[in-house]
Order: sequence, then C-alpha cells, then structure tokens
Amino acid sequence: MEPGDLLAGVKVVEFCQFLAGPLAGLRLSDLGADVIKVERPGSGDVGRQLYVSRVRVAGENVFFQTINRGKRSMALDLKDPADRESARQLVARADVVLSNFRPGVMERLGLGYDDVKASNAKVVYACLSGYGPVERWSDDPGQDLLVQARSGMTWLNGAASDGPVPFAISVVDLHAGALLVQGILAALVRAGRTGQGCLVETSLVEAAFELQMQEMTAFLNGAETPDRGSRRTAHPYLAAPYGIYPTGDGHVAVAMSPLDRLANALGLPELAVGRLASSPFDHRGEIEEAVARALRLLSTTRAMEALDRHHVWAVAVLDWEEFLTQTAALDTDLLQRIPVAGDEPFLTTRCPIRVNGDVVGRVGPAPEVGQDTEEIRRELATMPAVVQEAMK
Amino acid sequence: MTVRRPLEGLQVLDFAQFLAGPMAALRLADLGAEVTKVEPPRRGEAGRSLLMTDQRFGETSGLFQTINRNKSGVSIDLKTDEGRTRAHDLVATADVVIQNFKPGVMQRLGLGYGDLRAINPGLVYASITGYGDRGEWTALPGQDLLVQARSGLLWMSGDSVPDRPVPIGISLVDVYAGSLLTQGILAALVGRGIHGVGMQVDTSLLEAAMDLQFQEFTGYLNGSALPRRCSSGSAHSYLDAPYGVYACADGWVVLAMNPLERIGRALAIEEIAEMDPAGEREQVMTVIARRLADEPVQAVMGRLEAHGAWAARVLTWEQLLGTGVLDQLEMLQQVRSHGAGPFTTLRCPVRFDGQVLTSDRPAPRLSDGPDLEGRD
Repeated sequence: MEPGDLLAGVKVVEFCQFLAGPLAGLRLSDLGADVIKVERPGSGDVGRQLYVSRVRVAGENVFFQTINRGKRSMALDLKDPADRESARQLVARADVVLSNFRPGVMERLGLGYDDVKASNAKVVYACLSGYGPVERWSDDPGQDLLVQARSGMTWLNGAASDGPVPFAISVVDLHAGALLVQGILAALVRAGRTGQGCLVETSLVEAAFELQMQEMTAFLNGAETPDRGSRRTAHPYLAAPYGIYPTGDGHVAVAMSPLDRLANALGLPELAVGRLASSPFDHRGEIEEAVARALRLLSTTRAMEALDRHHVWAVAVLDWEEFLTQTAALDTDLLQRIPVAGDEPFLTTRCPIRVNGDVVGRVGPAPEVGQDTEEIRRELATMPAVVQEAMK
Repeated sequence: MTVRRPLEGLQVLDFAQFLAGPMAALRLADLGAEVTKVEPPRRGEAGRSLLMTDQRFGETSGLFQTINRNKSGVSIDLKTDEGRTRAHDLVATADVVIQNFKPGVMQRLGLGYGDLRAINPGLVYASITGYGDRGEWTALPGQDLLVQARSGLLWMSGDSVPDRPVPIGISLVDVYAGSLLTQGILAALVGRGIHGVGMQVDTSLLEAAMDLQFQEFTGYLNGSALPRRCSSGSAHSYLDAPYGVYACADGWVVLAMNPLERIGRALAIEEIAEMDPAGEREQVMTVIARRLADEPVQAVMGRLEAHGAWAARVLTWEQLLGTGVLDQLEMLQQVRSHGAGPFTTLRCPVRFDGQVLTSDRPAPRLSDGPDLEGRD
C-alpha cells in the first residue's frame, strides 16, 4: 500500500458549498478517497464567487482552489428530474455522502438520508449545519464569525480593556470540517466491521463549543469568568508568566515556566521567593508587569539568549516572512506546488497528516464546474457496489 | 450485528502526556474504543499537575480530568525490562498506540514503531511531535503558545493599533493537532480494513498551526500581502468591510460578509453603498462604528435582521447559558470524579444516527501501586 492510498476505493459524493463541508471533502481526498463534487451547472459552488483574496489561479480565486484541489466535479441541476436521477444513482453507489446545505434541502430533493439509505444501507451520510438542533437560531446563516460571537469565544483573546476579539481565521469552519471527518471515518470503521451505515452530524456551534472545551469546563465548575488582564495575556486561565512581551525591537512569547528560572534569566529575584513566587495565579498581573519591564530593556536576541540559557520556554515572535526563512519551508515538504493547466503552479500547504513517514495528498488543481461529468456518467454505468464489500 | 458506538471493541493505548495526545485518545474513547492510559508510577503523566485557574477535581487538576475522563489506567515504569515486557504484552492485543514524546524517546524505550510492528503487524501507531522529525526545530519544546508565535498566527487576530502580536487565548494548536491525529488514526483503521496492514501516522503542532492558517497562508504564498488588521474591530485580515466587531451603546455586534448597500439601508447610512469595501475598508468600518455607538444592541439587531443582514449579538458564556442553547444541543454531561462530586463538561461534538455520545466515567485514579484502578 502506498501511504496516499489509505482510503483508496472509498467513494465520496460532496453536496457542499463554502468552506466547512468542502474542507471535509478535501481531507478525505488527500487521504486517498475519490471525491466527486456535485455542482450546479454554470456557476457551481458559491465558494467560486467568494473572494477572500484577489489572487486568482486558473481563473478561480485562490481560496476556492485551496479547498477544492484534487476533487472531480459533476455538474447536475438537482431541480431537473433527469439530473436528479443521476444524483440518485451516484449516492446509491457512494460510501460517503457529504452535505452542508441548510436542513431540509436534501430531503426536498429526494436525497435525504432516508432516501439514500433505502438504496444503499451501508452509506455513511454526513451533514454539517450551522446550529444543529438549536431551534432559536435555525433560520440564521451558519457563518463562522456569527457563531464565534454567539459561543463566547471572543472573550478569550486580547486584554480586558479590549471589547470582544474574534479569532481572525475561520477556525470554527475548520474545526467543524475536522469533526465531520472524524465522524465519517469512525462510521466507516464500523461499516467495514458490521455493514452498518449511519447518519453522522455536527454543526458549527458544536465545533465552537468543543474548541473551548477545556476553558468552558473550568467555568462550568466554578472558575470565574475569564479575566484577560490589563496586559494582553495569551490565555485567560493560565498562571503567570504565560503571555507575549514586547522587547526593545520585537516580541517574545513566554509559555509556562517555573518562576525561579525566569527570575535568574532576567535578574528578578522577587519572582523566586516570597509573595509573588508563592502564587502565580493570584499575582498574575504583578508578575507579568515585572517580566514586561525587564524584557522591554533587551533586544529580542539578547532576551532569547538569557531565556534559553535558563531553559525558560520562550521564542521570538515571527511573521510569515520570517517563518518561511527560518523553516526553509519553500524547500521542504511543509509546502507543495500544485500544477495548474494554463497557469503558473500555485503553492499551498499539504495535508497535515503523514502516513508511514511520507506526506500524503493529491497534487491536482480544483476542477472546473462539471469537468468530469461525462467520465463519471460512464463510470456510473459500470460501477460495482460500494468498496465496503471488500473491507473485512 | 448492531454496535451503538462506532469504535466499540477497539483497544487503544494512550502513552501521551499533556494536551494534544490525550485529547485524541479522549475522542476515540467517546467514540466507543476502550482506552488505557499508560503512566509512569507514582507521579503519573505530567498533565496531572497542569493547572488552569488552580482548579482541582478530586486529587488531580481539573484540566487533567477534562481530557482524560472515560479512560482506564495502568502504571508501568517503561525504563525497566519488566515494564517494557508488560507494555509489549499490552501492545500485542491493541489496535492503536498514541504517543507524543519528543522524537527518539519511544525508540530508546524499545517502543518505536519498528519494535511494536514486529509484535503486532496490524497496529496503528500514532504520534504527535512539536515540529515533525526533521529540520532545526525538532528538539525544541512543543508547546502551544510557542508554536503560535513561530507560525505567524499571532499577527492574525486583534487590531493594528497598537500593532502588537495577539495570541489566540485557548490551546488551539493542541486541540487542532489532537483532532488531526484522530483523523489520521481513523483513516488508518479504515485503511487497515481495506489493505489488511497496520501503519504509522504522524502529525505535529507546527503542521496543525499551518493548517489552521492554510487559506490565508496560501493567499500570501501566491502573491497576497502579509495579513493586514484594521485599526479597530478586526475580525479577519483578508475579508472586506463590513466584516468585523462593532460596539453599541450596551454591548457588541458582529457583521459577517454583507453587501454594503444592505447594511447602508438597514442602518440609514446609504452613503456606504458607494464606497469600496476593500480599498476603503477602514473608512467604511468607521462610518458603521459611529452609527452604532449610541444605539442599544437590541435596536441594532432589529434593524439588521429586518434587512436580512448577516449579523449576531456578541454573547458571554453567562449570556450563552441563559439562552438555553446548550440544553437544546444536549451539549453538557456530568462525569463522576474520584473523591469529589461530579463535574460538568462538554460531550463529544459529533452525533451518530441523531444520538449524542456521553459517558460519566472519570479519569483513571493515580495510586502508588503497580496498577492504577480505572475499570471501576
């Protein structure tokens, strides 16, 4: 077995748009599954029009390319009876059906779990929604920032003097996609052993809560409301010195470290003995101020020398430019180059999971809308039953 | 044969410590696998003393309980021949081994993938490191904040005034790396069903941190500028106005992607419809911020909702608990704890056939004896 063939033969049909659902499809594709993206003829996935970056690769925005690379596309008008029949044939032969349409849409198209199960008992049918069974928000758009705002997440970043500070990446989408992949794969493990298919569901709101599971559990069991402190801390519930500190010419991050080491590294004896040393939780603000005053007087290089010498867990804060230089990321397997017909290859990260020591993943670009429709129609005519037959 | 939990019958050995590795094992436990935590005698793994807000449930840190519930435990000194033999015996019947020591440690203990594959060819051997197994950073401490700082992630959140790095205030990289490892393990178990062989799966905190930024980073790699935060109300470096956070008279609202024309009509500031949401991002956000500053949240949300805008009120955890949403989701569960009352935590966030998966089994107890009693 080649590492990239982990899920070889597993057929996934993706009825998804935007981000979280297509991300789940991407991961399964990188792990070896055949992912067929079913798109509306002409305009395709709405994500093709979502311009987060003005950079375009082969006519598509680079974000769409990034999350749909390596997939095949079949153009079907699901409101047309003939095309809907093709979709039914497709899902009848799929191991996994993936959908992130609003609740009820797939059912109205005759492609809901009960419909698919009737012709394909082993199917793993995976749904991602904005708010799951939460009725009061069920009509609201399932969008990352809106879910962050509702889940309490925005009170964990920044300082007490800031208002709410969002996580400025689509972290809820990313995590929801990851959770759905976990659910799908767990269900495939069971399907392989028992022949039992199932419905797998998660939602953006469940993903947002799960991201905060550690902190929320502390809060639910008596911890005070998260206190971000007067300085910008790095975690509202961890003891000093955990945080980011400005130096004379940059910033350093200091993780959990014994205070006596920090005292020696920075010449701050008051941190090693007495009142402050005895309670890094209660005196967090005071300790952090002392550390901040000492570090402000040093250059980043000098600060890191002192901290390293005393084995304090600390690093200089980098931006992407510095990151690329320091990791030599362009020359290593942290990144990959995706060839694109009619355009320069584009650079992107790869599947962050390695198998038997090797990187895995497909190196093809995102499909054009419906580019594989005819090929998939031909396959449908001869396609055998699902791969689970072969699994022991 | 009907199996309620998808991984029922599978055996997992959790050699991991701290957060990322134990979180992967927790997910497998909630999905139905039998997880046995293998810890050194006496003090147990280092995570037992990792405190969040000084909170303890029973004899261990609340954080340890939160991410090690639903596991059983065994105490083995892996540095002795006898201990190694016991570990090998456990591996012989296990499906999955999880470890997150620095590269080389498990090999030195005779517990590397090569050693264990010889004992059990069907084994899935899963590792999380800080920075992978090659390159200059492999020996550095693999810790969440340090990886955030190295990966550029600190320049995404927060505002540009003052222009300083803003960390994400949870152990996001650990949580996400644990999730990636879970995906790798489950894919390997499916792969074992298809191909009939076990395998090794790896990820690292660094790969997780880059995957968290992969869309924005890919934009940058292909010609976009470095991320640009707004002077106030930033919510995403690369998204145009009005995407952001806005203060109202008595609270905050967020606006997601919305046509400016719609926001203009909803808030009676039609002039923004003529502005460029990308080139004039700051100016548009300033106009909206001024407009909202004196009006209560409820009135603002009423206007925005009446025009179908993508907006939400910003809630705190207290306000969230008041909405009843967590109950409706059945998101919370009670877990027993040794020597203390039950504690409340979140359940596995994936539902199967409409059912949630819960378990009230606590984290394994630590004792001085050779075996930790976990199967109670």
